[in-house]
Amino acid sequence: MPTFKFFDLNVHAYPETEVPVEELIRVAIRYGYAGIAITNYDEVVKGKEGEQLPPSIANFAFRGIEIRAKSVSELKRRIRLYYGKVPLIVVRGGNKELNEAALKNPMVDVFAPPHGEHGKEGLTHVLVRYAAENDVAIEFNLNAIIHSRRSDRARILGKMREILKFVRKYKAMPVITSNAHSIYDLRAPREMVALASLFGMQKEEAVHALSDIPAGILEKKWKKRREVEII
Amino acid sequence: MKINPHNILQHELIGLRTEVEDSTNREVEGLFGTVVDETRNMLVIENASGKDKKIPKAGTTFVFELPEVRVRLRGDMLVSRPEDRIKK
Repeated sequence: MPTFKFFDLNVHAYPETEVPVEELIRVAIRYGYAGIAITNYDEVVKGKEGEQLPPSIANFAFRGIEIRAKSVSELKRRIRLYYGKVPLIVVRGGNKELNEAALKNPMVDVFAPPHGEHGKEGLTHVLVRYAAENDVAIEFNLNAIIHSRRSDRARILGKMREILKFVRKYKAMPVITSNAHSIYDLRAPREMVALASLFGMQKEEAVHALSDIPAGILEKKWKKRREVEII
Repeated sequence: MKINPHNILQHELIGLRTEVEDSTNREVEGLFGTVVDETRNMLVIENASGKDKKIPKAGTTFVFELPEVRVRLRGDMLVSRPEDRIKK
C-alpha cells in the first residue's frame, strides 16, 4: 500500500470519556494515523469550545464538536454558535427533519447518520443529494458494527450498504470513522479498510474515505468554493 | 444596509460594476460592464459600447466592484431568483 496520511475524524476523549487525549494520540500514532479529531459532545464542552489543545499535540489532534440536537431550531442555533470557533462540526442524525436540516447546511462538515437505531430514521436518496450539494461528508461509523450483535449488526450493515449505494450514485463524500470512546475502540487503518469491505466498500474507496477526504475536510478544501473572496 | 462582501449574496446586484473572470463560454471571458437586470439564471450586463449581454450565472466566476473592495465569487452561488436569494 503506498503511503497515505490517514485521519480519524470522530474520536471522543476527556471530558466526555475517561481517556485523556494524550493516551489516544499515543495509540493512534502507533497505528499509523496522521491525525485524529477530538469530537466531544457539545453539551459536555460547553463554553470551552474555543480552548486550544496543548501545543505538543496541536499538529496531530484537531478539535471538533459533535452536535446532538432534539429539534431543528436547536440544531441551527448550535451550528451557528460553533461555526468558525471549532475546525470540525459533526452532527449526529435523528429524525427526518433533523437530518434534512443538517445536510442542507453547508456549515456542517460531517454528518453521522443513524444506522437503524430505534426511533431514528435513515438517509434517503434526497438527503444524500443534499449532502453532495452542500459538501457535507457522510460518516460510516465502524464502531456500530463492532459493538452490535446478531440481528442488530445485520440491520446496521444493511443500512450502511444502502447509504453507500446513494453515496456512490450522487458522488457524496464518505468518511470512515472509529467513533472511539476508549483506546480499545481505535482500529488501525488496514483493519478499518477490511471492516468497510463488510458493507461492500472497495479497498480504494475505503482508503480514500480514510485519507484524502478527511484531510480535505480538515483544510476546508471543498468549502472554499462557496466563499466570497476579497481581492 | 450598505453592500459588503458578507452580504453580497443576499444583496441587490443591479447597478454594480462587474467583470466576467472565468466562464465555460470562452467568448464572454473578460467582459466588463454594469449589471442592468437579473433573472433566476442570468445576469444582464451592459458593456462599454452600451450593448446588453446576457451571461448565465452557473459556470461563471464574477468579480464585483463594491464601494471599497473587489470580490470574486462563483456564479453558482447566485443561481436563484433575486427575491429568493435573501433566504439562502
